Amino acid sequence: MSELTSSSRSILYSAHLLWETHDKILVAAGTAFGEIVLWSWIRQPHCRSFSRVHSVFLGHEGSIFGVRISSNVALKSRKKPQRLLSSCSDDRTIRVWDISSITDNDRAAPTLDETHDANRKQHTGFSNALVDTTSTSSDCLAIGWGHLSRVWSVDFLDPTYSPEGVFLLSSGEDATSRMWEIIPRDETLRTAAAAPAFSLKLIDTAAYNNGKNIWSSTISKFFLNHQRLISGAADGKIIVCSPYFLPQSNNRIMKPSIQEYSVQDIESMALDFADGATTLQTNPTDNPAFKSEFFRSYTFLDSKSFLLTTNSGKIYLETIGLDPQCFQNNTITESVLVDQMDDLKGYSVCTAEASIGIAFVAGSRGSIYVYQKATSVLSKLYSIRSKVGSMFVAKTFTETGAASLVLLITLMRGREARLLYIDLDQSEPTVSAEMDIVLSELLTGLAVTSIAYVPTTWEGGYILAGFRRGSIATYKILRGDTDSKDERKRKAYAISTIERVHGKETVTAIQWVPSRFFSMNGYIISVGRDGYSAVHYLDLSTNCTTLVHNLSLPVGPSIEGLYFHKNQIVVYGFSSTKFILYNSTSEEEVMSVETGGAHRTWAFEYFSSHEGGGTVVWTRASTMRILSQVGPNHHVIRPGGHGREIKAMAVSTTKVNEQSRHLIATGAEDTDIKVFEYVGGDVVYRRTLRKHTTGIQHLQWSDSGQYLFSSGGCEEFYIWRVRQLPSPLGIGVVCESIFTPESEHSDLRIMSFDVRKRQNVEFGFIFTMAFSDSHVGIYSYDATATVKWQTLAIGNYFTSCLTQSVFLSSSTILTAGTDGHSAIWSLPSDLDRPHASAPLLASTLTWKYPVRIHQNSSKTLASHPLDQETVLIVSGGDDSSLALLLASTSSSESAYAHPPTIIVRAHASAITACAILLFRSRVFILTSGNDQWIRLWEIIVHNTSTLGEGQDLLEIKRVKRMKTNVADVSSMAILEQGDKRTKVVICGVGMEVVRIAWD
Amino acid sequence: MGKSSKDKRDAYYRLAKEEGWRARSAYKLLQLDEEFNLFENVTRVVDLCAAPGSWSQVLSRVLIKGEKFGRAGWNEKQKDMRSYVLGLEKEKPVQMDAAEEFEKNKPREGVRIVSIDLQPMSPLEGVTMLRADITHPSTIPLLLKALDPDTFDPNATSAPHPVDLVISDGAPDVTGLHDLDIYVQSQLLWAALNLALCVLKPGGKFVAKIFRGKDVDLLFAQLKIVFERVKVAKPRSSRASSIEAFVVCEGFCPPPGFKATLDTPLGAGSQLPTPENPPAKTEMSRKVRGDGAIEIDLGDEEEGDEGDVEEAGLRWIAPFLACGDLSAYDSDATYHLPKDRISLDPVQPPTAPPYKRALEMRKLAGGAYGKTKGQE
Ligand SMILES: C[S@@+](CC[C@H](N)C(=O)[O-])C[C@H]1O[C@@H](n2cnc3c(N)ncnc32)[C@H](O)[C@@H]1O
Repeated sequence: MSELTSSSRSILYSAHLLWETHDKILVAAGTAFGEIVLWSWIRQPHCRSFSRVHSVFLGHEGSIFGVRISSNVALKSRKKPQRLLSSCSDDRTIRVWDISSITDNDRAAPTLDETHDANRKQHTGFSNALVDTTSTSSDCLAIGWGHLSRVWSVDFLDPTYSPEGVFLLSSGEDATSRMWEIIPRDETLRTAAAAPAFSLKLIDTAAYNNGKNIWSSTISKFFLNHQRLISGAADGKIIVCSPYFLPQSNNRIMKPSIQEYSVQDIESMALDFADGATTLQTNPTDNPAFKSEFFRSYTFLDSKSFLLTTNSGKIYLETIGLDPQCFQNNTITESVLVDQMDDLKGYSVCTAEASIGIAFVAGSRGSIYVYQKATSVLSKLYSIRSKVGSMFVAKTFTETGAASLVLLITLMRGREARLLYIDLDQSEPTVSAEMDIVLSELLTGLAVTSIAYVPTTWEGGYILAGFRRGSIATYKILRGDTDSKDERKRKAYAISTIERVHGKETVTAIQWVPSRFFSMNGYIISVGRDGYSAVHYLDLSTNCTTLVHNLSLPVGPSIEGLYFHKNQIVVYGFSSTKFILYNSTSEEEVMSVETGGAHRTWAFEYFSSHEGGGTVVWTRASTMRILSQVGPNHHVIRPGGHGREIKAMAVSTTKVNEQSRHLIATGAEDTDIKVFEYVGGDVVYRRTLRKHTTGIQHLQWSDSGQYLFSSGGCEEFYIWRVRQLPSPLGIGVVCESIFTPESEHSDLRIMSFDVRKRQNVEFGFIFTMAFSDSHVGIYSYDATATVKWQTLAIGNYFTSCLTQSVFLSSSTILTAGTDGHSAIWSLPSDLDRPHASAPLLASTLTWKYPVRIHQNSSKTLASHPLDQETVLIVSGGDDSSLALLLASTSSSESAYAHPPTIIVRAHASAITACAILLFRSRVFILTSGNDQWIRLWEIIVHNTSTLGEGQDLLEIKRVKRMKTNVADVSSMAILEQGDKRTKVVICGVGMEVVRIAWD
Repeated sequence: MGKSSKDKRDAYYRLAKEEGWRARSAYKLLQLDEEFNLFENVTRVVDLCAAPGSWSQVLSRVLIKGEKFGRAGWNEKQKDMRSYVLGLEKEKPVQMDAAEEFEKNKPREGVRIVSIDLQPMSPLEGVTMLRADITHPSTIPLLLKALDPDTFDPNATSAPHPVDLVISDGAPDVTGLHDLDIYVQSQLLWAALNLALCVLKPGGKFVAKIFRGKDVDLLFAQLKIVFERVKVAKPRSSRASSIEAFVVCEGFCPPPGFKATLDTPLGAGSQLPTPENPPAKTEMSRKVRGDGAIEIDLGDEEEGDEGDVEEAGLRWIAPFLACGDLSAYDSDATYHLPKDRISLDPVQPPTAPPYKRALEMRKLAGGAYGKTKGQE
């Protein structure tokens, strides 16, 4: 092995080598200042090998982050195969350069490095239009614009797999991978003669990673000729997807465009189909009253067929051609006119229970029709004396195990809704019982928008109804009552109402998860147009409801439905211009369809098959559009975490049925909080809490693990209630309370805080918070009091930022800040007083005993009581030193039991995380920092009486060190403390669990 | 972000505008000088990675105009301005003219200041500005020529009249990929050191930005070979949340016979020749401070038995010094400003970003930019 050297030795961000022939290597390199140098190394027989620079490409306006030399590719409009070079840059462009002439003809090619590189004439700084006159080079073949931030990599796709064109793949900081095709430029658009001859057309974009920065992406050809795009990003997630244009099984498949069908298309397809069979007598659509024939409504009968109604009162049955080989389908293979009804003219609504293929259609005069897929029969079911507003169906079972249905019919502006029990064990569906549900304008409003049925006996149960105004009401239904002669008994009134389940927005879907079959208690899962998913615990015997989960979803806000698939919760709805199907358990998008926004007339049905997916049909610009997708649009190879670095972390260990349960909460610069569970040696993702609008500063759990507290900038401080719910609900999280900012502009950061449980109150806490403007506050929170928050005391330090505040005892706190000093503050004695409705004035705190523990900021602080009277405090500084304090809490006034002990040069960088560890009655400290070392120290507290001359009370020893892969460590915590080993979780850019083995 | 919200967050940003500095970085150099008296007996200086030029401004005002910013002069006189910037005082202090503001000192003789950056800079009186990549070999002759324009010998690899001080505030545009950022930063440090080795006179000083991240102890150990005293300092104007700090190396002592060359430039992974008698190890020490606190230095560590092959390098932790007066502004604190505060424009508009054209294209394309034609 020998070293080959270039004559240009400046800093490079990127390079690519191509072994062109046995004796020749082509090299492309991108510099920090935007140049691309192309050179080669040649080995000649009997001669010394040499290298030379062929060309320097100018044009990029920022550093070059990626370069790639192609194999020989066939460009349209060029006779010979070409060799191309692609590059991407800080200037957010992708560029392609023609290097064929350079590589074609070795000997004739000009050599640029006749003179030494050190004597170059061209400056090596950034080109700048203001200062430089020439900056573009004519070798540029094409430029691609499209990335929204820096582009990290670019590559050509293997031409043997994409024979019909030249394609490129790029990915970048905007967390997208983009596919480009080189196409000849439209000559008419070529303005300047120097403009590139080709253009780069953006043909597909994949955005399935979170946060920022796709660091790595590639096209894999190992899946049986099916090319796949694989990408990994800063979130640590690796995904795989199949961009549509990549040849699958050697055939290039066009991206399925959404099919459009006009009413006339459907009509003529139905006519074609009916050809030969007895044609139904229908009124011609040119009837003047129905000049404007259009689609009224859609409802799915099963995963591949749906009913549609038109304005002229026609009902069609449409069948979708589902090709299981195909990822996306969009064609209707069969269209049948089922019937035309006079009373469906001008108005109709429909709904269906797709699991058993039964649909209901109603019109303006109150006739309800039922259609059964199994028998293809449409029949009249029922009649009500008013225009039907909407219909909701729910499935249940009869004593014999047969399916039966409940159908709720609301009337236009009606104060009562009709509930029908429909038996299906007869030859055709029949109404077996009926009753009225009385709606309250005052309590819920009249507009029902969703229902769920709760069977509690064979005779009846409850109806849960969601309303447009955001509430959910419960109605008790007894089948027996429905036959009663007594008018009043045939009416059901709301027995309870949960208000503002989705704020003031529509409750679009409800699911009931009973604790057991026929159980009187269980969970209500709902979604709404506020973009939230909520879970309430409901006990029907006591009529008690408790909100146990309420988190906003990252899609929406128009969430329109939810269902269970493989024990996971899937929701769907509209996000800006798209229809989105989203797995809210794994937080992965399943399907995304450009529908042009939310629409009034649309329907969706999911596939219950293993792969999942579904079909969406909607009306846009008076045509019906359809798209069916089998399986998710991408698969996760390795799940990820935060899109940016973790700034705070806290671990909660609780015992559940003798088993330890470890929850890890992480808060990141991306403003999200995530909850993970440590099970069987794996860190498993559970929940994302989205509410903060600034990076998270600090996180802490209550001792019981029932509460999580979080702080950030803009004086954000939230109290989260966390519960374990039965599968498939997972961990329930509710933001129970929000601290009200006190400063005028509420622009302070709450740098750190500490929590103590209030005495004599079950759900009450006292907090000390450190603010960036140098003040501390002591606050009391009582979940059960009428006035939940009280400010107990406020103290001002100086003007420097405080970074730490901890309770040393119930009567003292300690603070530390960027000025390197710690101070002790004594608190008023009546902190645990009950919250008064007229709060007492907050007392003023003053600080005492300042001690210089660092030269500048304290970056991390941990404290642990050593005995009844002393607390050990450990602080890690930006000055790379470790400070130890022994505070005595024996008297009401805290002071130090020992002068501070400072270990300088403890790390090579700032110390940013520490933890105190008690093991076999010895005291250990773990520290870590930006230098990516983890150090273990032992602290020996000597006995005052036996202290030798010149010996310190505190002795500290280095025990061991190990490396961590986590950059920018921000926090660490003890996860498991065993006899033989201790497990520690470390967070920063990523997360790592390290093991300390004790011998 | 609007300039007034930046005003609120950053006291030094406000102060820089009030005092006419091109960047808030000026205070980093001033605070380093406060601690290390960097400009004492200094006439010839090289400022690397200098754009937009606030360090060069400091050099020009100290060396050419003879202004004094030392500990003594500065703090007192800036008190009023400080309380104004901190929002304690509503009235802006009357601007004193330069003569009163600073103790006048005689401009120094034979001053030469050369500044280099990738970005073009606006001219400054008495400063030679070069647009170049400090990692590029062609920059060495360029620098030598700028230092001695009259006697320049294109074949020389060292300066006939060496300089007293080399400063470098070089920082890459961080990518967010930690290992890469730290690598590029250390490359810039090596490039600056390589230039310093060519032009610095024995006993000269070298100040450079460093990221206190992974493997920074390897860099410290290398610097310790060519300088008598190496410290890592962090000015208070540098944010606590940032891993940036500055190595202040004093007493340049190139190993005998060592010559920096163009052919083997230093870079990450480089090792300087270890001198005959390696620097003595720091032993464990204990010191009781005036305030009673006990300071312990556990001494240099024995090379670990981590047995990592890549680890073939000396590690050494440089002593840390926070500089700037404690009563100076805290770059992490939030200050309360009076409501009617007028926000000044920056002294120098920021240089156009490399993606300026992309932004223009995006504006042209409207909502369609970066979107593949939808599925419709
Ligand atoms: C923090 S700024 C310097 C600010 C300057 N000290 C001042 O006071 O105005 C960092 C500078 O490093 C420059 N830089 C980065 N890489 C460089 C390189 N390879 N060669 C020269 N300059 C470089 C950047 O262009 C940027 O202007």
